[in-house]
Formats: sequence, C-alpha cells, structure tokens
Amino acid sequence: MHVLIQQLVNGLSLGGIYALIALGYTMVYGIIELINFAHGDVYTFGTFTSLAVLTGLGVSGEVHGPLLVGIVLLTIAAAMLTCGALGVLIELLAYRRLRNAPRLAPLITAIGVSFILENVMQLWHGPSPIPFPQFVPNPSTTFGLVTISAKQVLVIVLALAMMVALQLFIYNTKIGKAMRATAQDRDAAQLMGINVNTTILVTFLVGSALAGVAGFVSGVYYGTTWFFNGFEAGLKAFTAAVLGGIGNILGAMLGGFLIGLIEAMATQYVPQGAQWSNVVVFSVLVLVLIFRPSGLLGESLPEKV
Amino acid sequence: MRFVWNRCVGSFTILGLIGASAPAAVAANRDPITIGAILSISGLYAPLGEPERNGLELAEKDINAHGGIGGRPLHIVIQDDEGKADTASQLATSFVGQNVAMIIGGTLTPTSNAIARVTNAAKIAQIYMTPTDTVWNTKAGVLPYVFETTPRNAIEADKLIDFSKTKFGAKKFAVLHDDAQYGSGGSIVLAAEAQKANVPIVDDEPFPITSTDVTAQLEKIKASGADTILLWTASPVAAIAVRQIRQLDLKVNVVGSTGIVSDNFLRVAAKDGDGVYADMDLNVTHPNAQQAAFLAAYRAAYHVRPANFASFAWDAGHLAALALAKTNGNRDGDAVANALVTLPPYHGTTAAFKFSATDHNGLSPNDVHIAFDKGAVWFTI
Repeated sequence: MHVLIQQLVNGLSLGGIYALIALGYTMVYGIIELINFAHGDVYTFGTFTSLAVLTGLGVSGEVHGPLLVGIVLLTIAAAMLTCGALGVLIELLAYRRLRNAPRLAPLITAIGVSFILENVMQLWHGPSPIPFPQFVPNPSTTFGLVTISAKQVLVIVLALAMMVALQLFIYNTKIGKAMRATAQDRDAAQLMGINVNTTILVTFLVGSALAGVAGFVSGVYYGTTWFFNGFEAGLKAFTAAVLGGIGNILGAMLGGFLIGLIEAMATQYVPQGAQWSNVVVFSVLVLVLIFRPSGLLGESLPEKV
Repeated sequence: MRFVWNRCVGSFTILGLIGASAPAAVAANRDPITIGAILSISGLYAPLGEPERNGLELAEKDINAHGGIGGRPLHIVIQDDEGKADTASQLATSFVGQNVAMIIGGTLTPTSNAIARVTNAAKIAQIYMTPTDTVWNTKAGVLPYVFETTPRNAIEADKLIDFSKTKFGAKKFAVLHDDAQYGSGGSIVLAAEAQKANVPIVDDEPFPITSTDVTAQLEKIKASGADTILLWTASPVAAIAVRQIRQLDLKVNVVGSTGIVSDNFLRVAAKDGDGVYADMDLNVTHPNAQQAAFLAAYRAAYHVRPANFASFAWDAGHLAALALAKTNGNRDGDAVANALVTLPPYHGTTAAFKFSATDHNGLSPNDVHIAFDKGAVWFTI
C-alpha cells in the first residue's frame, strides 16, 4: 500500500510540471485554436534562462533562509519575463500574419519555430545535457510509510499556485475578461471594442511566462536540462491539455496531474511498465476522447480561455 | 616507408604525439587514404560522440606524424549522424559512393547496425565503438567485415557482477536500463551472467532514453530489496538516475556499464555521483605507457581528461591504419578483414587487441577496469 501512495506522490510531482506547461498550450488553443508546438521549447528556454541567472549570481551550492527565497523569486521572475517576451516575439513574428491563413499554415510554422528555438539553445549550451545548480535544499519528510521531498512539494505547490493565480487573473481582471470574450467569439469581441491583437499577445505572454516557471521548476527538480528537453515534455503536456479538455484551465491542470499519475502507476503495475507508459497514457487519452470528445472538463466549463 | 606501421605493430607507439621520437614524414604529394567516420556528435548521445571525434582526430594526427599509411597521408572524414540510424545509413551509403577505404562508427547500437548493413553489402571493413557485440556477432553468424573496439557486453556484465560480489558482498541485484538497444541488450546479458554467477536479479526496470524522471522505477527497486543497482545505459539519464537514487535515499550500491563513464555524467551527477562505480577500459589512474601518452596528448590538445570513448576511437583509428598498411591501401573488405584478424596483438589504449575469425572484439574480462567517481573525477582501481 505504501508503494502505491509513494507512487502517487511521484506521479503528482511529475504531473505538476506537465500541468504548468499544459496551461500555456490550453490558453493559446483556447483563444486562437493553434497548437503551439513551440511551447515545449519555450519551457526549455525557461530552464536555460534560470540557469543563466543562477550562473550570473554565482549560485552553485545550497543556499538557505531569506537568501534562498530571494534567489528563487528572482530566478522565477527572470524566467517568466524572458519566456513571456519570447512568447510575444513568436506571436508577433511567426503567427500574427497567419491569423487568417488556413489552419495548416500556423501549425507548420509552429513546428518550424520549435526547430529554430531548439537550434538556438543547442548553439547556446551545446548538444549535451548540462547540470542545473542544486541550490535548493531537499530534506525529506516521512508521513507514515510515505516520504515526500521538499522539491516534490515545491513542484506541486507552485503548479497549484500558478493555476489559482491564472484563474484569478482571467476572472478578475479586465484583460482576463477580454481573453474570455476573444476565446468565445473573436469577431464579436472586436466589434465590442476589444483589442484582439493585444489580447492574443497577453495570452502568449502569460502562457509563456508559465512555461518559464515550469522550466525553472524542472531545472530545480531534475538537476539537469538540455536543448531537446521540451520535446517530450511538450508532447505530454499537450496530451494533458487535450485529456483535460483543451481550452480549459482546470482541465489542463487535471490532465497534467493525471498523466503524471498514469505514468507512475504504469511503471508500478505493468511489467516493464516504463516502456509501456506512453502506450498506457495515449490509450487512456483515446478512451477518454471516445467517450468524452471534448476532454474530461471540456463540456462542464464551456467558457474557454 | 610503406612498412612503418607494420614495424610498429608489436609495441605500438604513440610517443610521437608527445615529441619523444622523430616523426616520419608523410609524402604530401601522394594520394591520401580516406576513411569515413560516422559518429553521434550531436543529439542525446553527444557526450559519447564528441570524445570519439576528438580521439579520432588525434589518431589521424598521430598516424600522419608517424608517416601515414605506407607514406600516404591518412584523411579521416568525420560526419555526424545525430544519433539517428537512418542518417547513419545514408552517410554510410554516401561514403561507399566516395570509395572510402573503411568506415569507423557508429557510436550507438542502432547506428552501428545501420552502418553494418551498408558495409556488409558493399564489402567494406567497419570498426565501431559501441559496447555491444551484437552488431558483428549476429544470429546469422559473425559479420566478416565488422569489428569492435569496446569490450563486448558479456565481458562487462561478468566483470560488474563479479566486482559487486567481491567489493560489496552484493546478494540481490536490480537492473535499471534504458529501453533502447544498448540498454535492453545489457539487461539480457546481465540476466545470463547473473544466472552463471548464481546471484538473483530481483527487479529489472527499463526507462525511456529521453526520460527525465525514474523515481517510479526506483520506488519499485526499493520495494524489491535489491542491495545493488546495475545501471546499464549510454543515455545521459544515468546521471539523473543517480541523483534520484540519492534524493530518494536508497541504500544501494550503484554500479554502471561503460556507457555512463563520461565527463557529462560527472558534471550532471555532481556530488551525488560520488561512490558510483562503472567499468572503464582506459586505465586513467594507473596507466601503462600507451595510456599515459594518450592521456597527455589528449590533455594537451583538448585541455581535459579524455573520456573512455575517446580511447575507443583512438584505437579504432590506429587499428584501421594498421590494417590498411598491411593491405597496402587496398580497400577490399576481405583483404582488410583478413589483415585485422592476422595482425599481431595491437597494444592500444584499451588493451592488447587480438582479433580472430570468430572474435571481432579481441578483448577479455582482464582488459576491463573498474572506475569510481570521486569528487567529480573518474579514478580506476
């Protein structure tokens, strides 16, 4: 039993990172119905930016107390700003002109942007995996037979905090209302005086900033990164967004955590399960889409962002 | 001049690299002998392919500094397959079209296999640096033109299990391996060697080669009661796995295959890598004359200690040169293969290679050393 609970904890922390990335996928899709394949690479860019900040600050070993909090906040802020700006840049340069083009055009462009980002990051740090400073202390706490580490708590708490912040942003701010309106009907929103271009830019800004947080968390949690890191994570996060109901924020979070849990459970209970985890994940996705084509929460919350 | 290399075979020297002997001249006006090399210099396995490229470039310089191949300069054209088998196959086909004398590579089992299919059909000799014998030692028999400079995996498995029993008194093993050909092959070989050694493997856990999280597998290993994890992979995930082993506070010994022995492992695993053992063929701590010269030359050229895979490539380059010197530059696969199997033992940086018609690896368990990570440096026992 304790192994099951331990695997649940492992799955949740893995899922927390997927969930943070999935938020960006779901926001962009919700508003312009584009699968932004470059989003996974923006996430990796977040890890690279965090690494650059930590290197610049001369952080290599563990730090404690207020200094630790300061470094974490500063690094997250830098990752969010940089990734947010990158997202805006991608929208302005690559997607805006294709707003009214056939849907295949922006899709292929997104793949192209993904390749460009991967190659830029390969030029930046080379083709090999690189270490990420292990500056966050990682004490473990045991509850009964289950052990949870500080980093696992950090992943889960940050993912939930970002989701709550995003919900508050979307439902309690003017620009959030504009995003919801644009997601529902872009033309009508424009007729009502909403600046659709600005709204879409903000969507990219916020979604990419969340990928920056995910990138930071990933570096802290795994202690390493490389230029290609975002490919698989992005794929899983996109699957999470679809599983939860693409365009739906709670759905993206739910999907992210579910995929993390499914992977952990497949490893535990399917013989040689890690080899089959992708098969299990996508089988679950297919089953869900057969019975609930709009995803788990896609129908219950039709208002998309 | 033609027999420069033949004369050197028995006590093969690389002293020219460090300026201890007067190098023989290469006749610049003579046509070079071109060897094609296909390595995984970028992509997931770049930590293996990059040192291989360095080792091969160094070998080329050394060979030319010693008179080339029978007075003809050696030209090694190195191409990057990015760790992709289809790219490796295309590059091999291209090299065949360019009439290269031999092909060196690949870095990985799938790329080496892809190249072997081309070299076998074209009857061109190939030397690869993947630590598995399955490329040349196929179910259909020994591929006549394909040779290997890394100890075959049965040798590694035998050494690692024997070491773990002796050093730690290991009684229960768990295998953690990648799900690609190298890792899966290692899992099979470890199971066979463990059975021979009469020790149980209580858990066998694969992980995807691009994985960043193996905590779920480690939880299973923890529950299995294993006291030693045999980590068989060439993927950078090895360092992540070690970090997560420490993070989960697993009280286990970690013993890895030669695929984990890279500088990248040291950098990424950092202090968590301390106390990790693995088999390494280049004796960095107690080097013999060849190894010491190679270590010095590599440091002088690249300002770092050479990774294990650099020495495999160095040996591959020199073996190729020796064989081609013996055939007088004839690139016919049968002639080169025959030259390789009839060479006197070549004392390389790994060990003394002695190929035969049935053994295209030419190494024994005694040629494998155990290394350990201490303070982010590999030391050999």
